[in-house]
Amino acid sequence: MNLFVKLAYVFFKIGLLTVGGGLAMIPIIQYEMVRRGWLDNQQFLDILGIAEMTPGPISVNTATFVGYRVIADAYTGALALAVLGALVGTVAVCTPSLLCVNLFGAFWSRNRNHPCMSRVFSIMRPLVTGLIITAAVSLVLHALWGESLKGMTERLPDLRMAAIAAAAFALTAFGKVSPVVVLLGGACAGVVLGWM
Amino acid sequence: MTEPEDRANEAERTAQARVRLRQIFVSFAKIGAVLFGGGYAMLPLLEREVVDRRKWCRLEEMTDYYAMAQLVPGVVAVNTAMLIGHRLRGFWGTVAATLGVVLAPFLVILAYAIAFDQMRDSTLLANAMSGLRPAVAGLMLGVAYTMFMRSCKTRLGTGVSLAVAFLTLVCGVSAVTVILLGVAVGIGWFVLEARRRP
Repeated sequence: MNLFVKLAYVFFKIGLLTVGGGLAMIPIIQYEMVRRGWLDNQQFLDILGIAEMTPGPISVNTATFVGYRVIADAYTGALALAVLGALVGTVAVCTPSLLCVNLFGAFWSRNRNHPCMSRVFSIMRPLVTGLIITAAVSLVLHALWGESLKGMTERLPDLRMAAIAAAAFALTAFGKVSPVVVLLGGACAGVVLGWM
Repeated sequence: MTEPEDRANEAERTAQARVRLRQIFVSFAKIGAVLFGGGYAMLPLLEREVVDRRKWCRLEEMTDYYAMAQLVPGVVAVNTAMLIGHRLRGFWGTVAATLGVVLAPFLVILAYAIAFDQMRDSTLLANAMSGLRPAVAGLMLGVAYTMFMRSCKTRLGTGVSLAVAFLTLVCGVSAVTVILLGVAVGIGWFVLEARRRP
């Protein structure tokens, strides 16, 4: 299949399957990207960090970035094609909502309080929580032990990295510090530690 | 309906008929440029632009749009923009609002992607990234913790979130399967309930 078509298909699917906010997209994007070899877990962490620090929803940012990356890797040096790839990814991830709002917008708003709708959502909310727990745990493992988790129990992670992760967790969970501050702090700590 | 009220609604409608697509695009492009970290942060900014400055809709309606945006697949921020665009100018309104809200994020990420290609060998960037990675992971864990604390207030919430985490983390079931399964269970549950009721 043409790479552009594949990009459009994957991001359309991601846009369609995300119910209940941008965070719910993270596990799906991670799964789709890693499975296809478009990003590894390290790159996914990078783009997640950049997405949180720049304006725009994570899914749209990832779509833009991955669209660019995938095409740039496939056709070396073709900047125009890579920009087109970014455009294809971004448009594709927004299309499902665009269709839904236009086709079912009226229906949706009329049946907003329908018991079937609220049943589905009473399941979807904790379901998304579960998915995010999985994504978070797998990201922490990959951040500390590297891309390959083989022989994880026998090696110790880089303690400096573990300290950064622990601090970021505590600041977010208990300190309610803004993500931008947490991530900038992490990047600065990385620079300082690399310097020493 | 009383007559003055009627006239007020009429005035509101004609005012909305004149909203230009370019204006919708520009307003949402401004919001998109300062939209950090997704949905919730957007709400006050959106209210200031759409309700206070442009008077496109009333504050109570905003809450409705926001609630609805969470029911439509996709990102809450983009969905809210689309719903307001739809109210103002129908299909082309949604297109203008969407293009506006994603313009700045698109350009920023594109610039980052291109710059990253050029600076691949920079040690400074590599060090910053190596610190950023565990910070992102820790942040995600913090978000997961906060969300779980909210979900585990009910027995259903605790059960579903733990079961889903177990299925995906330990058994390797895909997120897509779990979501489709969740929708099916919700609908099935509703049908069973409806049948049991006289």
